[in-house]
Amino acid sequence: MAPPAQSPDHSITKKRAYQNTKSSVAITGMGCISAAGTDTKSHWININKSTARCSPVPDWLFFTKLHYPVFAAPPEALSPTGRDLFESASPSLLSSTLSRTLNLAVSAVAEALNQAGIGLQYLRGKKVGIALGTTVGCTFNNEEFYEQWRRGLEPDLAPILHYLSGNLAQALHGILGTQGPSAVVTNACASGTDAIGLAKGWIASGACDLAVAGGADELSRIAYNGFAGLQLSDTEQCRPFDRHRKGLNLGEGAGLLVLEEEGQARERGITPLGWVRGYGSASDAWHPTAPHPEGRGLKCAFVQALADAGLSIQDVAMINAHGTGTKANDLAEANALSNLLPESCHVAIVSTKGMTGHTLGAAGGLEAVLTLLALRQGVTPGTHGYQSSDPQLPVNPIPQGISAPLPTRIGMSQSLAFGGGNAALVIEARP
Amino acid sequence: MRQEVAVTAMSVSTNKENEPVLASLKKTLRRADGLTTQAVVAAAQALAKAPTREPAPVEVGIFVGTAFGPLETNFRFLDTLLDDGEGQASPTLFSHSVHNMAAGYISRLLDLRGPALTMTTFTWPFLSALDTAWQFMAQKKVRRALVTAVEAKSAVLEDALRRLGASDDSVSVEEAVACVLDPVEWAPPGYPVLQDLEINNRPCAPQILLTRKGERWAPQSSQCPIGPLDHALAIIKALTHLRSKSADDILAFSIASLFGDARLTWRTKEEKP
Amino acid sequence: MDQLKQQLKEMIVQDLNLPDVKPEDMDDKAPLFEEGLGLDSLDAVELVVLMQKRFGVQIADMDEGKEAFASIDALARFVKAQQGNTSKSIGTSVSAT
Repeated sequence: MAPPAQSPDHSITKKRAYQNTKSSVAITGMGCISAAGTDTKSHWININKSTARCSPVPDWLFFTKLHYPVFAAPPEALSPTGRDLFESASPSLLSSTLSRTLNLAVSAVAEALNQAGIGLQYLRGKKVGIALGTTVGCTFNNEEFYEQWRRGLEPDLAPILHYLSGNLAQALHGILGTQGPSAVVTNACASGTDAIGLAKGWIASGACDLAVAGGADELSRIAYNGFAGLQLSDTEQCRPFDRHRKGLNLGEGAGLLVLEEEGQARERGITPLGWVRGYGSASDAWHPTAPHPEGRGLKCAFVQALADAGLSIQDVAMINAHGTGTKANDLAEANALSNLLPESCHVAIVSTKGMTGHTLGAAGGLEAVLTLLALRQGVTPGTHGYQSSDPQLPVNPIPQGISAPLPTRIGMSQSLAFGGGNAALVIEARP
Repeated sequence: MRQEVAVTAMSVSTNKENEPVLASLKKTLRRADGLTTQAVVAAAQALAKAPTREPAPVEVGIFVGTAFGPLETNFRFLDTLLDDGEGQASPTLFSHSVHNMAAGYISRLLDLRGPALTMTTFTWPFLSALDTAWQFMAQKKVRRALVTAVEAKSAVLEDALRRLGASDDSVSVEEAVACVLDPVEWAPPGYPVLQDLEINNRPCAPQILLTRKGERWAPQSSQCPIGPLDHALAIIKALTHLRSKSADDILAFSIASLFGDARLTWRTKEEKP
Repeated sequence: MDQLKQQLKEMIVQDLNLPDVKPEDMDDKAPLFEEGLGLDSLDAVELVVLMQKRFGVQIADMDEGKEAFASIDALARFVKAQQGNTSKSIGTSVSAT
């Protein structure tokens, strides 16, 4: 692992350290990779053209007899930008020794750091927080090892060591050669959103000079079978909020933001892309896997996020909903939103999972990036997969093929998780 | 400085005093695995011991820290996948193999509706949960935090440890530690108050994260570092000792290891003037 | 039929982890979900898998499941009907990979 190039410059940290005031948390970089593209630009193009497609599980991922399609990221999880970063940061490591999830995360972080104008030397002189959400990325997935172990054989311990090397935040610190707070949030589908919220708090309190926050996850046969058993997967491409929706499609990818205190970013001559204005998180306290039918935890998280931002629903132009395409989620979410959105309010509701699939721990990070992309453009593409309204749902998203102009630069991204967790972010784009 | 918080209750799931709690929760925990059961018992007991202040359900946050999470449940699910084939693997086992299931159970059974975050790290999961809880309190996102660290037994990890040359055979425990963080003004005099928490991680060889070779802490206790829960047990023990001494005492708890170091500073809450 | 119902009861008690319930105390006509035994949606999907594994019975979706799972009687009738329609060799466990 590469050592830091110079000892950390604590002067900025000391100035803001121990403050508990609301500093402006700027987003100076963003990066993403998924079935919908290998960077933010390709995501924007593909989502607007509705060109991402789910497919049967490719053989290079894993073999399955089941017929649920997935949204697979490219076979090469490390993008060219990611490879450049990896090779300059950790020349003695082989990317093939890293998990697919970690490779996806490196791809996203490379794009985000480039956009933020942050190089390794600068990075290694700062206190860097890394907060990542994941679900598959923290589990032991090596079926071959386990299958041999349970037969009483003594398989090579390499998969165990690989697993122990795989804590995403620690591994990313190791690759980048950085020091600072480290957190892996494993809140199932809300992980990425909670990780960004956590990092926002770090920046606001001066716990670090800058933060990389979001989520990453890879497709796995274990999760694939798990969701199949729970009868949450669709055998066709998912249809968020649609009358004929039958379930979700799993996906994989990574979505990351670079967060900094705004003053620091401007000192570097960087103009923010936007800001994380608010964060809220709350629990349904209802059921192990199903959401509260009225989305009570989501309502709470949503209201908290707006209060944290000091904004009202009237300021919000769009909501990137969780919108997985399952009967239960979309109903709960629609119920919650109909309660939260006054009649007079015309907020554009969209789900992007029709283009990326449900990327589990990555979803919150990926969708925060996609929300910011839309806000910056002042327009959001509609919901791929949504074509006919469900009379049971009190609100409807923007349909596929329609683009909705956004009257303000403020949006929200929300997630509902297994176990009843809910999280929401308020994101503002610089006009 | 982050605004101080007090620890107003602590619980270790395997303490004998928790047996009635376990018995009373048997039905509601019918599907729960060992990990979730231990976490719920510790969390429930800690909350029961906390001062009666009745924060609203949405004002209480749940912060769970774990290194390996429901690893064994993951393997039980894998058993059904390997034995029964695709399409016939147990959905109950899968859902319980997701790391935040314990937090979800705590939330549901104790009707706590604030944030519920599960932090996964091989190094010091209790500290990761504690740090996150403290931040949420300092930023007024919650008024009370229920912090729980939990691990489950794992035959696979025990085997790996043995093969890596660890000397102790009983190396994985199924146990949870929980504590309640409250505003200092809610705590009775003499209770521990958290003043500072610093965690520094360092890259290390991966097997060290399992063997925990070289990990030690001060003040020393009879607790020998074996697994990722032991720092939590040692801290709880040290805090219990702190409470029994005079109000002037400061506890500086430090941990050193090949994967980093950490420091916690505590004082005791002053008597009323 | 009685033997089938007994098997179903034992399977439900054991595999859905109902420690306080005895198969002999289970009422054949009582609802299994919500009231009655108080099973929930997670138990329902688990039951689908169990029915497939133990009895070779396929449940197409949860709408079909809802009817079949109404009570022990309903479940037993469903199994009989399914096993009458297909030969016993079809629908046994998918071979492990």
